[in-house]
Amino acid sequence: MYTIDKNLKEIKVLIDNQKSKNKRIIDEKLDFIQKEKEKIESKAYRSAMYTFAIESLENFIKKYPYSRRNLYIKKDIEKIKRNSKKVHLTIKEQVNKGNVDLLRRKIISSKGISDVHIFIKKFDTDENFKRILNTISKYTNIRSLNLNFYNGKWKGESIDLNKAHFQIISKMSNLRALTIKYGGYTGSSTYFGPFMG
Amino acid sequence: MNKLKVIKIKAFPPRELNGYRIQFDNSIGNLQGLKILKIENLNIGPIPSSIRKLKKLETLDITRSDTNSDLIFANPESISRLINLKNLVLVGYGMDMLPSKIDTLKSIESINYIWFKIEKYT
Repeated sequence: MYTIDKNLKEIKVLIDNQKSKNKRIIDEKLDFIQKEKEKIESKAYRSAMYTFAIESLENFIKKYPYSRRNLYIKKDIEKIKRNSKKVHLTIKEQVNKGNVDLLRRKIISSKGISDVHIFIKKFDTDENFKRILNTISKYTNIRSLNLNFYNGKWKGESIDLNKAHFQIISKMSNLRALTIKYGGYTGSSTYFGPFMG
Repeated sequence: MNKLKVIKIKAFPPRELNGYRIQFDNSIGNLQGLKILKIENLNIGPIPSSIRKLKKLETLDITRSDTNSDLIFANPESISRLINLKNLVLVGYGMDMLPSKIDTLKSIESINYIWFKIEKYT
């Protein structure tokens, strides 16, 4: 992370100096950032870094409006903007009476969660599942919800999706994609599983 | 159905499903911004007629699921109201025939309809 920070700051200085001979160095640094960007894991920090990266790239375009690289930079900006809107939450740890409130607090304090993936079998009771669903519906602005029954080991009561769950889900007014499935199988457009013969 | 590019209709032998069930609620109609609805490998109850309110729905994918009743849709005609539906995937046991009025889907581009060749799944 430090290296990205350092490079972005250096780019800013180079841009501010308005020296065209610095273009090659800027290009190299942008390439470096492009590669490093993939490695970023910290989601909260990533969001802040995206903003900074977008500002830096937009500044570059302003300073060098005729650079041939601008076309690619504009594409990069669009990509960064798309990615920065996605903040994932995956609940794959066992959720029980002991830690359900801790998880709720984490969700409440998280900003901008947009994609949620829940392994339903990880919940010990239906009540705790509903509490988490409620928390997500109230405190996040989710666009994608993936409910997975998961076929691994689990300790808890059998949870089916019923009307009460859908009433909570229906409060998620910004929801764009709802996926409900059993098992780890992904990809709905392939129908050549073992049962197909 | 001017935009229809792909239609696949197949029949396959049965397989065992897990025991998990989904019982839909009418409130699903409140998700009016929903574009993609996917359900895989589950026993599902009839989809309520409020699905017709999902005007922005582009993909309806019910894959390898079994229905608890004879009909996958509580009101089969409700699907004809999905004016933006582009991709329809219906794969399962309880689907003896395509929903009626499917020909009225204006934006449909592909239909994948695959059912399992058995009278009744036990």
